[in-house]
Formats: sequence, structure tokens, C-alpha cells
Amino acid sequence: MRPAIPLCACLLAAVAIGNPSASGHGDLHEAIEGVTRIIEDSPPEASLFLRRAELHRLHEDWVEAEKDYRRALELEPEHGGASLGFARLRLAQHREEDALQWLDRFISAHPDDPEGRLLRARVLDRRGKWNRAEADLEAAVASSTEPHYVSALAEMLVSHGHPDEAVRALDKASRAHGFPPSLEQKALELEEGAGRTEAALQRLDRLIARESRSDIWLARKARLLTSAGRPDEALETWGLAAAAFEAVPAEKRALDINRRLAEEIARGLNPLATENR
Amino acid sequence: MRHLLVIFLLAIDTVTLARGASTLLGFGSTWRYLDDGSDQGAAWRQPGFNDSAWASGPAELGYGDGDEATVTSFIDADPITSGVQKNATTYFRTTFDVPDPSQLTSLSLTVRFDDAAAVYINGNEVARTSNLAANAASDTYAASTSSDNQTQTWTLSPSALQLGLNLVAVEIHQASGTSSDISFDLQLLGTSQVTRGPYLQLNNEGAVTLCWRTQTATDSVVHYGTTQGAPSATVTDATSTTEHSVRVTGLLPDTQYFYAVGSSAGVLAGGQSADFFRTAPVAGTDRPTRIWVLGDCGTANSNQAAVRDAYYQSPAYAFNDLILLLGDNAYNTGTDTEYQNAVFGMYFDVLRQSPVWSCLGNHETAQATSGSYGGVPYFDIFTFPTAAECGGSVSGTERYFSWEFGNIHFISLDTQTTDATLRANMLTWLENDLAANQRRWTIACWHHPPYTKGSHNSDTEGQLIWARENLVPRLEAAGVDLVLTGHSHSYERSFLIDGFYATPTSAASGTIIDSGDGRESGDGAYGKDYGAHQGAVYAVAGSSGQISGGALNHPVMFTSLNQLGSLILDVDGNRIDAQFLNSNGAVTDWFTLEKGPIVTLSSTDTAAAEFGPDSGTLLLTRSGSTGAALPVSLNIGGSALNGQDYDTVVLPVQIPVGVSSTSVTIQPMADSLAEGDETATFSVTPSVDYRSPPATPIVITIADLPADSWRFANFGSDANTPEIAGDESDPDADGLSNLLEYVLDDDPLFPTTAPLPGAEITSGYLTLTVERNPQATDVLLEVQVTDDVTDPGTWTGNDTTVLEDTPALLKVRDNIPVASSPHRFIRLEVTRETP
Repeated sequence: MRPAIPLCACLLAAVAIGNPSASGHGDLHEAIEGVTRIIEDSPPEASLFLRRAELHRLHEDWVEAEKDYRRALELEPEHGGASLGFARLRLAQHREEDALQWLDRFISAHPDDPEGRLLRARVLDRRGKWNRAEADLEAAVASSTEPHYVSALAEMLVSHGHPDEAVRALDKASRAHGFPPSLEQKALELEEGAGRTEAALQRLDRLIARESRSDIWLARKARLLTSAGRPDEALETWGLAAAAFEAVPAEKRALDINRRLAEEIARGLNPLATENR
Repeated sequence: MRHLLVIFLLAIDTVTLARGASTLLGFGSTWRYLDDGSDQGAAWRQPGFNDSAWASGPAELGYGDGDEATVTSFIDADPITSGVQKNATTYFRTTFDVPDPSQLTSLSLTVRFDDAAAVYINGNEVARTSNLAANAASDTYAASTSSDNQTQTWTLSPSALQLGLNLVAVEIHQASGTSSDISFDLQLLGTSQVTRGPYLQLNNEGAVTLCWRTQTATDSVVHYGTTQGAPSATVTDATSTTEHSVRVTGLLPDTQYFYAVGSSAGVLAGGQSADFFRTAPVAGTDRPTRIWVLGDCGTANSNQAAVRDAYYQSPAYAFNDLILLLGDNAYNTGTDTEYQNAVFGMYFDVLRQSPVWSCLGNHETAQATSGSYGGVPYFDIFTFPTAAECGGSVSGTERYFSWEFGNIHFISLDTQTTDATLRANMLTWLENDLAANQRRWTIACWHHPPYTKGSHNSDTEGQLIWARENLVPRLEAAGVDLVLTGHSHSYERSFLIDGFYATPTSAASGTIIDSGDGRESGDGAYGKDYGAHQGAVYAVAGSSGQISGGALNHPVMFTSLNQLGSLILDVDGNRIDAQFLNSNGAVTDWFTLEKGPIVTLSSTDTAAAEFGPDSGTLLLTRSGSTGAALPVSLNIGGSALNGQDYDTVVLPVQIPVGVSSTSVTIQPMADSLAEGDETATFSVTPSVDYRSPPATPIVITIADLPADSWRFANFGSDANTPEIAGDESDPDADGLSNLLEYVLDDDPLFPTTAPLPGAEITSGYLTLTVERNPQATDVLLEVQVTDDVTDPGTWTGNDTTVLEDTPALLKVRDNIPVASSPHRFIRLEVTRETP
């Protein structure tokens, strides 16, 4: 269970970024007609206009979408979801400057909403304002335990030539989240990509010690050692991988991934045979 | 298990406390009533009063309005006055059970009456309408009329109740003798301190988390133990809260624990026979497992209740090891209140016993497709593993995660969030999770179906297409077995399929591995081997709360039903049995999925013999990958005994790595027993490691030694008595030993009738002709000659010529012409051969 944040704010945002396939049953036209019927039968309600605005936006009917967003804001001027929806509309129309204004408005009202931060960071990054983008992503990471925000931050740091910071950010989040493979693997790839073999090997050793299928990570380590020109260590590691592979249940060895791994381990253990072939 | 079921149903039929407000006695209950105008004094209010002679019927009771379920009568209480003067008082009584009044904080009594009422619980007055005098006599009319079906509610103290059976007695008074009607119905609700739960989360082999909500903040206490009513341990969390979550650890695997929850002030819920949980079995072990699957259930209406009740009342009902929700658990936006009604109120009886798992639906997030769901109640209500707390692998998020139960690996995925980074993270995690998965079964669930033509269309909707194109290939490459989804409000179940990734999906875009119904009673169970792309079954089970129709004609679906219902899964060893139980209690789809290589047993040589010896041969053949040795157990029967009549067949038989078959030699062991031919039967023993289709056992016949067989045939029960049946014996005293009788195929129990070997001179040579027993293959016959019968050492078989040697005839002549010797003698020597 996580600490609750005020429900009204989150639901407003949630409605604003609705999805047509999720809202109704059938295609967009039916969904729009359905919401229209509800609007006609109900007292004016911002959330209903927002819902229809989202459907229009996804239908790429910008004019109708804008009308409904505006109507929602008339009914509820501080509606955060409408601000975020408007931002998405402007992005879809390739009007990024306008989109930024709507995002600023949304984030000023909901500074801890990681999704608004992520969206604005991507816009800012495209517009060359990457320091501000980084700040937004760091705020997103600080306000959410979800690992994909730190992945987005790492991707952006790498794209701007800061792999070390990306790795640090990933490591910090990985520790906090219990070392999910999605973050660990990204950090490992960054280390390998930067040619930092020793750092990558240390990371692999941690994975080998922690993960139930150590054979997979031992094989990866052996691969890295081979490519780093350290054949003796590679051979020893292939041997460890072979021993660890013995623990894989018989029925699981039939899987492609395991069959390929077994073949690779066999080749690794007999590199001369591979060369002679 | 059946015993548990009985307890459970009783609990449902009586009273279930600890749900905040629970119905102790509902409107429409059945009451005994007395409408004869008699004066019952005060005794009728007491629990001990005998009302067995009273009539009974369901409420609403009364007369004159036309809306009564049971019409009561009246008398003319004053015949002197003209017209019918209806009697003033009608009496009503019923009982209800309260397992534990101490768990109630208040009672809410609502009475529907016309014209006045007084209510007594266990003999004590607890409520009276203002138009009725205290201790009103039986002929006392109400001081005023009421409106038709007027209702009034009173708040009562739970101290009015007693443990177990309680009596409620009501007197309804007419306003006047000429009033046209009376009415009566009653509801009694109990309010408890616990308003949600208890419910179970994060169940593993040594721990479980108990969650509950209270009206007011308290500390948290859990008492538990393996015996009901005798807790052996207590866990306390001193934090004062209304949202209680207590992790109980140090438990034994696969063990039932009874529990009660509360505060340091006392127990608030639990403690009954139905308040128990069961820890998970040790990881990797096969244990029969029941999973109740509910998709899009959260309507909180009569449809949802009908699906629930159909299961509760079904003969198929059993203790649920897990409850799996497929998203859209609480309409319309997954608020806490909606969850209270659609989940905790609806499934209280099972949620207190079985851990509940879920995946994220579109209605949990109020349709949001972003990654930001802060404050969405779903994430506050449920606690899912982010750090592999229940097996599986670390995901770092409750949006997607895995967990394990016994030998099942479960994966819950998020198809609602469309953020590209989240999806990429989830796919990376999924690949790692699948690679690390060592369990026999893999069951994946998410909300948006990859294949549906129900109220959604998997060919046109983005999240459904994404799931098909991104999740399905990864899962099938890792050998997924069953994929459960919702979203479409129907039940759609596929054939055993693989490789349908294209958009739109057509019958030709993948492989229908088995186009049968998957039923053992029909086309046969679906069978699949371990390994990638062996086939999976995809079920859309989104009709647990509503049905929404649709074309229902997806080409990969075996069946598509626009029916309310739920899916019941039973995992046992290497088979999964699935049943779709509709809201009418009918099983309208079912299938079986069996897993493992197919092992068959055949024979290339079923004839074996002790003499020789001559062996028989079994052949074990397996399907699928030969990357690992496969141990196969055999059922061995027949009259021949393993290790006694033939060389020991060591079990299990291993089909070695790299080969798809192996032979087993049945090598007879010769013995001196005359026992006739024996048989050894072999069949494959069912195992969770492979599939073994039903087959006729292989019978290997082991022929006895021919002489022993002859003795067995001729001497019966004396066959192994040397004095009678031994080679040297002559029981018929005809001068021929049994061995000779055997060679000559004569009856050993009657004097010789068979022709004896005849010596004659043929073409100048002494010749011996023996008509011999063709079955006597284990004897050596040698015709010997000599010219000096006084010297035994001169007999020789070397100076003879075999003229004819067939199984039935031996004809041998002497090599020395009779004319060249004064004496020539010829004889037959018989020797038993040993195998």
C-alpha cells in the first residue's frame, strides 16, 4: 500500500487523459456518441466534457476536442485534467510552445504529478532546454516510486552525454526498488557501452550473486571477458555457467533461450573446436 | 475439502460479521405468526415460548394492501357491532444466529409497519412506535393510523443480543377494527468496528499479510494458530490507524492457520471456523491448486452477485488457493467506495480466506493511460509484490509483477499504461522474469485481450494490438500455458494456439496447434510439451459483472459466450482443468491442458522363454526435446515377478539425453520350478513429468522350461514334488522314467501306450527310430552303439549316422554293418539341458 494523495486531484488528471478504447465498448464514434448522450441527459459536468474531449483528440478532431476542453474549463477553471488534456492536444497539433504553457499551468497546480513532469521534460528536451527537462525528470523520480521515470531520466542523461550520471541515477533507484532487472540491465548496458569493463564485471557479479538464474549472468560475464580479450577468465566463467546451468529443471531446458544458452556455454568451454569449425 | 465446504456454506447462510454493516435479519425473512385474535399475554415474547403451532411465511406479512408475500388473516373481534371489527393485535416471531455479538458496535433496526408495532429481542422491548402504548394489551388499538408501509429505524445496543440464537418478537396493532390493512416487515443490521476485511495479501510459503479497516483508529493485533479458537501466536503493530496491514511471518508452508484480528482492546473480527488462511506450498512443489478467476466483475449489482452465488452454491466450489481479478474490479472509476461495494462487500466470505491478486484495468485508473496513478485506490487497497516477496522476480512496481504458488509462475502485466518508457521497462523485466522462471506452469494475466471480438475488437484497439504484438511473442517463446484477460464483457476461449501476432488476426496468421475442444470427454485434452511455442490457451473472462455481447466470432476462439460467469481453474501436477461456470450454475465450457512429453510403451518382442534364455523387449519412446534425460516409471504386473522370474527392471527407466527412445530387455531367469508359462505386464505409470496416453498394457510371455512346462501340465499341483514328478521317478511304474515319458510325449501317470523307440536292421545296419516330443527342446538325445554291452565305457555316439532329425523324429543308424561284428547293440541316451 502506498500513501494516498488527494483523490480529487488524481482523478481529475486521470479522466483528462482518458483513452477511447478503454472508455466504452466499440469504436471511437460509438464512444463519442455514448458520452454525448450522457452529456445531454445530465447537468453540465466538466468531467464529461473532458471525457469527450479526449475521445475527440484521439479521433484527431482537434476542433471538437478544443471546444470540449474549453467547455470543461469554463465549468471548472482549475481543472488540472483539462490543462493536461489541452497540452496533449497542442502536442498532437505540433504546437509545442502552446503545449508548454498548458503543462506549466498543470504542473503549477500539481507539482508532484510525475506524468506531467515527464511530458514536459520530453517537450523541453526536444526544444533544447535539457537542463529544465532534467529537473522535471528528477522531480518525477522524486515524487514516484515507479521505475520507468528513472529510466526516462537515464535515457535523457545518456542522450546528452552523461552516462555516469545516468548510471548513478539508475543505481540509486535500483537500490530503492530492490534491484529490478529493468534498471539493472540498463545500467549494465551503459557500463558496457562506455567500455568500462571492470565496472560492468562488478555489476555482473552482483547480479550473479542475486539472481536465481545465475547461469544467464555468468554467460554474459563470460561473453564480456571474451570480448575484453581475457580468454582464461572467460573459460573459467563458462565453466561456472555450465555448472549453474545444471540447476535448470529438465523441462525448462527445452525452451529456446535455454537451448541456445546451453549451446553457447558448450562453445565457450571448447573455444578451439569453435575456431576450427 | 468437503468438510471445509460445509463449514463455509454454513457461515454464509447464517451471519457474516466484520463487514462494517452486516445483515442479521433481512427484509423478506420468514416469520411465524398468530392472527387468531387471541390474547397471548407476555409469554409469547420470550425465547422459550412454543410457537410451533403458529403459521409461518415470508415477509412482507399482513393484509389489505395487495403487496404481501404472506397474507395473514383476522377475526371479527366484536360480532355484536355491525360489520367486521378486526382484532387489534397480530403476533410475529422469528430467530436468527449471531456467532459473536462482541464484534458488533451497534445495531440498526428498521420496521415496516401498519399501523403500530412493538419489537422485543430475547424478551426485552427494544423498539415501539409512538402511537402504541407501553405494554399494550391484545385488544389495544394503535392511537393513530400510519401511512401505508411506513418504516422507522432505531439504533440499538448490541447488548440486546446474545451469543448464538436470538429471538425477535413483534406485535402489530391495528388502528381500528374497521381499518382495511396491516403490514409488517423487519430488518436488523449489525455494525462492526471492522468495516473492511480482513483480506489476505502477499501469501507465500512462510508469511501472509492481513489487511482490514476499522471505523476508528486503533493499533493492530493478529492472533493466529493452527487450531481454531486456540491461537498460539500474536503479532502487534502499535501504530494507530484505520487501515491495518500486518505481516505474519514464520509460518509453516502449506499449512492452515486460523486467525482473529483486532486491537489491544480485543478481537474485532475473525475467530470463527471460516476465518483461516493457508500458506503457499514450498516453491516448486506440485500441489492441487484452485484458482477462482473473475474478470470485469465490479458492477456491484445483481449480475455480479449472481455470478458469485452460482460459484458459492456450485458442486464445483472448493477452497480457493488464490482469487484472481482481471481488472475493472470496481466500476465506474475504481474509487474506494466502489471497491468497498464491488469487491470487499461482494466477496467478503472468500477474501478472508484466500489471497486476492489482480491486474490493472481501465476502470481502476478512471481510464487514464498515463503512468501516473498516484492516489488511485487500487494501489492503496492492494499490496502486490515489487521485490519478489512471493517468488518470481523483482519488478520494482505494482503495475506489473510476478509471483509463484507451488509449481505455478504467475505474471500480472499492465496493458493500461501506454507510456513508451514504462512499456519498455516492463518488456525488459518480462524477458528476465521468463528466463528465470523455473516453474512447471506459467499463467499470465492482464486486462486487454490480445484476441477478442466481444465488446472490444482486438484488431482495431491499440492496447489490445500492443499486447498481442509485444507480450504474446515473448510469452510464447518462454512456453506460456494460459493467458487470462478481461475487458470484453463475454467469455471467449481459444483453441491451443501459437504465433498469432499479426493485425488483423486471421485464421492463417498463426498456428492452431489443436483445433479440438480440449475436453477429455470430447476431442481430448490439449497436450503440450515443455519448450517454446508449444501452444497456449487464451481466455477472455470478462463477464463476471456484466455482459455486452459483440460479434463473438474471433477465429482463434473455440467458444465465445455472451454469458455472465466466472472461470475456475484447478492445477494438479501436469494438468490444468478449467471450467466456465455461468450465473445459472451451469458449466458451459471446460477444457483440460496437459503438459509434458508424450511417453509411449511398445514391444518388438513379446515372447520370452526361460530356456535359452530368450529375452523380450520393451521400447519406451518420448516426444519433444531430448535435452535432458527423462525418468519413466512403469506399472509392472502379471504372474512373473520382477527380479524373481526375470532380471530386475530398475525403475524408473531413464530415456537418456539425446535420444528419443530406449529399450528395456526382459531377461527371464531360469528356475527349476514347474509353473507353466508366466506373463509380465508393463504400462507407463502416470507422472507429472510426462503425458502417457491410455494404452493397453504390454504383455511379455515368459515360457517355462519345456520339461517344467510338461511336468506342470501333467502333474499339476505335484509338479514340483520330486518323488512324483522328478526326472528319475516313474509314478506309473511302466519302466519309463518321467524324463523318458517326456521325451516320448507319453502320459507319465499311465503305463506306456506310446510307441517305444524301435531298433531294426535297415540295409544291413542297426537303426534306431525315436518318435519324440517336439516340445522337448531342452533335452539332448544321443543314439549310442557298442559291441560289448558288458563294458559300459564302450558306448559311443561317434560311430553313428543321423538319418533323420526333425522335432518329431530322430532316426540314427550304426556305422558298423551288423555283418561285420558278432554283436551290435544300440541305445538312446537322454540328457536334460540346463538353460
